[in-house]
Parts: sequence; structure tokens; C-alpha cells
Amino acid sequence: MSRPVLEIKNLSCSVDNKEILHGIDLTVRGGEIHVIMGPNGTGKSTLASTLMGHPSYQVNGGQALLNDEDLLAMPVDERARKGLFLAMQYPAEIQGVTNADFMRTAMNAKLPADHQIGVFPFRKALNQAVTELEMDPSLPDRYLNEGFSGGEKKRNEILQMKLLKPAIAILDEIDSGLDIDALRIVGQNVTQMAQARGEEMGLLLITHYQRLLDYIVPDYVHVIMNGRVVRTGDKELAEKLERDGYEWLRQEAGLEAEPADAAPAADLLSGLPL
Amino acid sequence: MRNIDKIRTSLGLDNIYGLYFSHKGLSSLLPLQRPDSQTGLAADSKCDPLTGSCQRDGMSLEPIASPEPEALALFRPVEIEQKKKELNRPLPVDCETQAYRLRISPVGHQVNLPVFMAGERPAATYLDITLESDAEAAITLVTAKTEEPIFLNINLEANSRLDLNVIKMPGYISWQLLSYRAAVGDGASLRQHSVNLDSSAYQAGQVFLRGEGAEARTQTAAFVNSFESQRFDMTIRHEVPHTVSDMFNHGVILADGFGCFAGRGVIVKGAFGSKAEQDSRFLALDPTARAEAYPVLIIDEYDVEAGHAGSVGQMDAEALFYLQSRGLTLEEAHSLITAGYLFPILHDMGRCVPALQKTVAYLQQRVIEKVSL
Repeated sequence: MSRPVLEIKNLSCSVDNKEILHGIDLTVRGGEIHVIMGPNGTGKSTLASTLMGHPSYQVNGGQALLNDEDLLAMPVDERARKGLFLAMQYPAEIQGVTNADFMRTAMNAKLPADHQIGVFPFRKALNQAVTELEMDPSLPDRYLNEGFSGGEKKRNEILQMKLLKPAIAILDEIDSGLDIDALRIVGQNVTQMAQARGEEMGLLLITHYQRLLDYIVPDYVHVIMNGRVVRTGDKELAEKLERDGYEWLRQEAGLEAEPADAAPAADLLSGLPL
Repeated sequence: MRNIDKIRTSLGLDNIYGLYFSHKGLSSLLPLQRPDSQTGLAADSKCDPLTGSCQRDGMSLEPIASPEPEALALFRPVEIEQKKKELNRPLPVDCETQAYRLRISPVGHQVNLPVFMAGERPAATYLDITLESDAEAAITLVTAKTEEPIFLNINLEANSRLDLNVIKMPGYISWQLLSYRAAVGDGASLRQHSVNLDSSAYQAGQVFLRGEGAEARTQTAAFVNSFESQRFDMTIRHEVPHTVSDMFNHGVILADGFGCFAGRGVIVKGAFGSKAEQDSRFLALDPTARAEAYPVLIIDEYDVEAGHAGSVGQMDAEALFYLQSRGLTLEEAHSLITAGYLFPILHDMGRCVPALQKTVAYLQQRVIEKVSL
């Protein structure tokens, strides 16, 4: 497999007619680990969802190329089959569809019709991944994410990543909802996979906390504020942010505070018969 | 091969004894694999074809007098009259019936009895079913191309357990009219699963929890084809303390189809410590699909736990996006979610009656074929 490249050029996009991203530039190559940090509401998850093709996000301009192909022109499933993977912050629960049936369908979706994975090789790969992630052995036969704890859902996202072997994996706040042990297990599994696949896979992590980076050491740390990348550094930048917060960076970049989404309480209550 | 034998083989029910109601009346079905019975037509030494009576494996069956219209009228819940205009085929109660009494004794294991009703029958069928104390049975009622009404009068004595599975045989499209009344005694349990993947149907159930610790769990999987209608009326009355009920219904409706789940959980005064749950949901696959869900609770006691949920909606856009983000096409994602809507009922039927694993696999396959269209 050749070294994948995801190029994001001057990407801007909106949600509900409100522009969130104002021109993002970022390049992720196979073998690299990139981390995106930033205050709440600055567009980190918007970037991830836009790249994957979520229908609620409208692209206003710019480009996203995966191996020189126009990602934004592809339907969601084609982006996935081309090698893009998004570990979601809030994975959907789907009743009646077992994890095992879903995973086998997803793996076969990427394979040609005459090279579909058989039941036994699939079960072997699935059981191995379940063991490595220290998950409940009954997981393959449970319905997809239904009744899973927050931590189980996040581990299940990593399990899917391990089996689907993407070219570019985006992990959106994979550390939220994880206890200390689960964070270690997830971090170690991601790192092992990155090392094993080398230049065949690039990683883009979105996180609020430096603690994830104790297990997954990044090559680059980017800070998004007000819908733009305002600073790129290495692991030391993440440590400084953890220590000092974002205010110094905001002042340095000459940015105003993020506009609040919610109207003041007094406005919400106005007009109500109190 | 006769149609009835094809049906038994498809459902994996061809190697056990069963009852068969056809245009000729009642006959018994022997296991097809028996060397003396390649066709299933061989004489059954334990059954008398002249009287229709039969005794085997803790079961005894005998003909009884046809119930009076007043008795049959009890099988039509009051709500039907109110909603009659919505039913193309209301349940008749002044019809002639062929009536039988089936008693099942405890034999130390779950008695598994398939009952097939196929083709045009000479009259409605009335089955009076009693499970004696501590008896366990799974009665799987399969209907195919039969439109005459079916009445089941069920009496579950103390600590008995009945799994009642009502399966409309896929591919044999016809109206299905069924109504049952069940009295559940001390510590006894009724678990009912209904699966109808293509035909119009009216099914009514009235369950009376009359003994302490009595339980009733009912589940329905309905796939409503275009221009068909399926309606399910279910009432469970908690008449004594510490009784438990749970209704779980999922339906999928195609264009111009109509589906209705009307559930009523009634907890009377004095039935303290009881629990009643309902969950009825429809997935509409087209703007012209019509559905109604009425998860009604009528409670006249304070110390109870009760919950109800009902919904009629379209496919969850987030679920579709999630599956597509793993490489499934929109059509594949659509099919998987639709099938998954009905599978929990099929899976639960297989868990309750392990002997029905092949039946469940067959029904799952039919669901997959339908949603792949």
C-alpha cells in the first residue's frame, strides 16, 4: 500500500447557515500522528464530520483531497471505502444488528466480491481485537452500541478501526468517557496499530486533554480557534496548553473570545408568562 | 411434496409431531423423517381420526361443543367496535367453529407443539388450551392461506409456562384473524411472539393476570406490505398483586400500508407491587405509510411501576450516517437498520424456545430478502 496523504486546503464550512470553519489548512501523511486541540465550539468536531461527509455540514469553500482524489465530491460510504475512518464522539446505537454481523458487512464492503472474508478468518480477527482491547467477550453478539457504556462505545470504535485498517483515521475525542485503565488500553492499542502499520496509516486525533498524549505521542499538535488553525507545534505545545490554558494564545493571535452559542437566560425567558 | 410439508420443512418443524387444520378438518402430522412415514400421512396410532382425539407426550386433544356466540363475543375487545371503520375485516363472532380442548400435563420438559392452519377451512377454529400446574409448553401456531378466524382460550394453571408463537407463513398471503384470551394463574407465565411479514392481519389478545407472581410478555414483529394493513390490539389486566407485564412491538411499513399497535396495560386497585411496561414503535419507509401506536396505561393503584413508549418515525439519519461511514452504501445501511428493527423479536423467540432456532433463521432470511428489495 502506498503512503496515504490527506490534504485539507482552505476549507470552510457551515452548520445551520452559520460558518464554523473559516479556512483550515492541514496535511496528514501516512506514518504521522497529528493532534487537534482547542477550546469548546471552535470547530474541531465540525472538521471531522465535514471530512467524513455528515449531511448537516455544508462546505462553503476549499478542498479536501485523499491521495489526490476530491474527498468532498464523494458520498460518505465511498470516502470510507477509500480509506477514511472516523471514530465518533457519539456513536449511533443500532438495535437488532449484532456487532459481529455489522463488522463483517463493513469489512466486506471494502473488499471485491470474489475476495469476501470468510466466517472463520473474520471471527479469529474479531476475537483477537476484542482480547487486545480487553473487551467483554460477549460483545460480538450484542447489538451495535446498544446498552454499551460510554467507555465500551469508545473501545468499540477502536475495535472497528483495528479491523477496517483505514488509510487515514480521525479519532474524535476518543478519550472522553474513558476511565484511567480504559484510556491506557485505548492509547496503547492505537499506538501499537500506528507502529505496526507504519506509513500505511495517518492519524488525526481530536482531544481536549494532554493525558491521551501520554500514550499516543504526536508528531504535530495543531490548535484551532475561531475556525482556523492558529498554532502548530509538537507535544510541548499540548503540555503548555494543559498548564496555561488558551488565553495566552488567544491574545497572541489577536482573537476575541468565541461567541457564546446560547442566548442569555433573561432572553430565553422573555415573553414567557412568569 | 405437499404444501404443508414444504412449510414444515422450511420452518425446520418437520421432525416433530404437529397438528394440522385444513379443509378436511384436523389431522396429526408425524415427523417426516420417520421411515414409515415419508409423506407424513401415515396413521398415528395415538390419534383417532374418527373422533379427532389424540394423546401423546403429556398432551390430550378432544373435540368439544362449539361455543355460543355470546362466548365468542368476549374475544372481540370493545375497542374494535370503536375502530371498526379502520378494519377491512372485523373479527366475526357469530360464525360456526370447529372446537377442541387441548390439555398439557407436566412431563419434566418443554412440550413443543406446532399447530398448522393452512388453506381454506370449513369453519373458524376454537382451541381451548389448558396447561396444568407446572407444565411447560411451546405452541407454535403457523397460518398460511387461511382466512377463517382463530380463537384461543388459554388457561395457565399455577407455575405453568406457555410460549405461544404466532407465525404468519411468509409467501402465503392472506388475511389473518386471530383473537386469544388467557388467564394466568399463580406464578405462571405467558410469553407470546407474533411474526407477520407480509399479510394483512387483525390480532387481539386479552390477558388476565389472576395469580400472584403471574407474568405476561408479548412481542410482535410486523412488516406491512404496500396496501396491506396489520392491527394488533393487546390488553393485559393486572388483577392481583405482584404481577408483571411487558409489551414490545416493532413494525415496518411500506408505501400505502397501515399498521396499528394498540396496547392497554390495566392495573386494578389492589394489584400493588405490579409492573407494566409497553414499547410500540413503527418505522415508516415512505411518506404514504400510515401508522398508529397507542401505548395506554390505566392504573388504579399507587404502589406500582409502569412505563410506556410509542413512536412512529422515519429512519434515524445519524444511524444511516454511522453505517455509511463504515463503507456501507445507503441501500445497505437502509436494509441493515430495517432488518434490525424486527430482529430483536425473532432473536427473543429463539431464546425462549431453543427448538425454534431453524424457524428463527428462516424468518430472519425472509426479512433480509424483503429489506433488500
